[in-house]
Amino acid sequence: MILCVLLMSCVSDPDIQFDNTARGNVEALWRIIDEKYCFIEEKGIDWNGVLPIYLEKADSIKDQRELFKIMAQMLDSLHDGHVNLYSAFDVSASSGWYDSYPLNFNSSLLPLYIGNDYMTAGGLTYNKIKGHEQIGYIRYSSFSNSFGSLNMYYVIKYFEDCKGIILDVRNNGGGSLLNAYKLASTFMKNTTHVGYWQHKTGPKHDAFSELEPLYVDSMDMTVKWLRPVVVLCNRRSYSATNTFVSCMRYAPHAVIIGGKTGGGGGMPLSYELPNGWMVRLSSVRMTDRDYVSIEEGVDPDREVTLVSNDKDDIIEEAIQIIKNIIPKE
Amino acid sequence: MWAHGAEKTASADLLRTDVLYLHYGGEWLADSYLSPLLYDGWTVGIGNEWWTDFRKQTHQAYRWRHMGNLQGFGGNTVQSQKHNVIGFFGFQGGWGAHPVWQFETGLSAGIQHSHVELYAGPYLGADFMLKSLSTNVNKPLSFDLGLDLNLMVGASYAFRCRKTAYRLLYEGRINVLGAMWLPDYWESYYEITEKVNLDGSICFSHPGNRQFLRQQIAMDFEFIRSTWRLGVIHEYQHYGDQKRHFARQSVALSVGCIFNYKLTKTKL
Repeated sequence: MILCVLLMSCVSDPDIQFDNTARGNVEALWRIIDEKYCFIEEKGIDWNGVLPIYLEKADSIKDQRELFKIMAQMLDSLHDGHVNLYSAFDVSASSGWYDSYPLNFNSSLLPLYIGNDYMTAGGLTYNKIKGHEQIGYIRYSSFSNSFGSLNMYYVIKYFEDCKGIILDVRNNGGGSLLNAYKLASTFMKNTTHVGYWQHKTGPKHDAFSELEPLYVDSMDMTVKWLRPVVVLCNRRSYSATNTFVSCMRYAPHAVIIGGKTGGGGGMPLSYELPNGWMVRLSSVRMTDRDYVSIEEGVDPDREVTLVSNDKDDIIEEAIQIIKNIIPKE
Repeated sequence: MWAHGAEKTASADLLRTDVLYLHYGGEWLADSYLSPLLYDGWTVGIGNEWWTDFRKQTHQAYRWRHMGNLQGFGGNTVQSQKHNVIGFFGFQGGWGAHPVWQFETGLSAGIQHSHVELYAGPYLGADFMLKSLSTNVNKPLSFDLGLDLNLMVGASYAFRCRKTAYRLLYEGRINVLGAMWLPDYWESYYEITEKVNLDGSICFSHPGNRQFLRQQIAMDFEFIRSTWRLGVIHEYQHYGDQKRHFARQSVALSVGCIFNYKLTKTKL
């Protein structure tokens, strides 16, 4: 019994060095970001300067909601959509990364192009463009929705007479990276080097593992579309979608149009605070194959802004791109 | 009634003893890959332990015995704020061999014989435990995986009291050397499973970086023409380095039923 009690002290974790008080939780949050967040140096954030401001605020906190609010403000200074604070009563989210960009998406305009008789395979909504039957349209609204080769087979089969397809990932906030690579693989004949990634290896801001190459494996998706594809994206194309768009720059028949993607090139991990709340933060950073970070977003090949109220200027532009492509002999 | 394995029923026969047991108790978990917080909850499991003498014995002073254990377990733990849950399940198995010294301790209750057994020897054990913290992003799972050469020691005292046979048993084992899984604290589950990036994740273990202890104290007794075991099993393991810290402890009440089999050497 004595041995059990003695060993209990070894089970309790030395990682927890902060009390479950307002001040302790603010300090713990600051420390987690300081040691584990991967963009402090890249974004030039004065993280050391943040701590005293919020410690002072913590001393006057009266309830949990107030604590949540100031901790969320602290995280907002990172301007990162992958950084969230989760409690039982609220989830914080940064909006600074998309607020100053045009929306470039209006879902109410989609029926003009795909009607109401569209189909859904896995997470893929698809139909031929009304009035332009030689152009297919696929909307993928979340990389959290899984799809398989069979789904893609039926989609591609339906478009077999089409000259090109429009792949709309606007307002797709991300999801599984596996789905991102799988979708990109549909448009790549060969396994393609698309970038690098590295994760943090220690608490120092510049402590990272070696850059590890990332590939889109052509075998991830056995069904292929090797004709023109126009990818539509906007600032709300975030996280896994951002990675997907970055990959599509290396697809041989792809053109990317719309607005700059939202970024989120850092894979998020999560950690718990002494009070049980959870913080999610970017901990793995990614670059394209030219070693350029994709954290701040990926520029389209052709920037197009949605300005009309009665038509989708970005889809219109995509239709023109596909119509003007001269098929190779 | 006690099957110590040494009791040869015929010149070529041996007795094998099996204990089929259930256990239920408390569990404490710390896994810095999943969470920096301490979790506690319950564990439940089922297991089988067996032992028998080797057929060939060469010494008069002691006899060689081998034994094995296989158990499965699972449970649920929560952190002190009750926000999140780590569920787990796992398996343990192993085999060991050791010399057994038996000492007659004279008469008990004026009539019945009693004796003490001491044993110590190597035990090769494997353990696996999968832990899941489903609210975690990109690292929802963690697992303990170890293969250890252990040192096992035990002592038992068999006696009779009011015509009922009892055996009091203590058994413990600690790891000496082996291999273990030690995931990089900063690595995502995606990186480990999809990219199969295992650099530094499997490493040599020794008491300096991994401490494993399993001990049980039990009382075997006759009850309605059968033999039962009531005991307490304590398990503790702690491993890691300066960046990574994994620990678990469980204390469980075990109830088992003991079966004896005659192992007959047959020639076809």
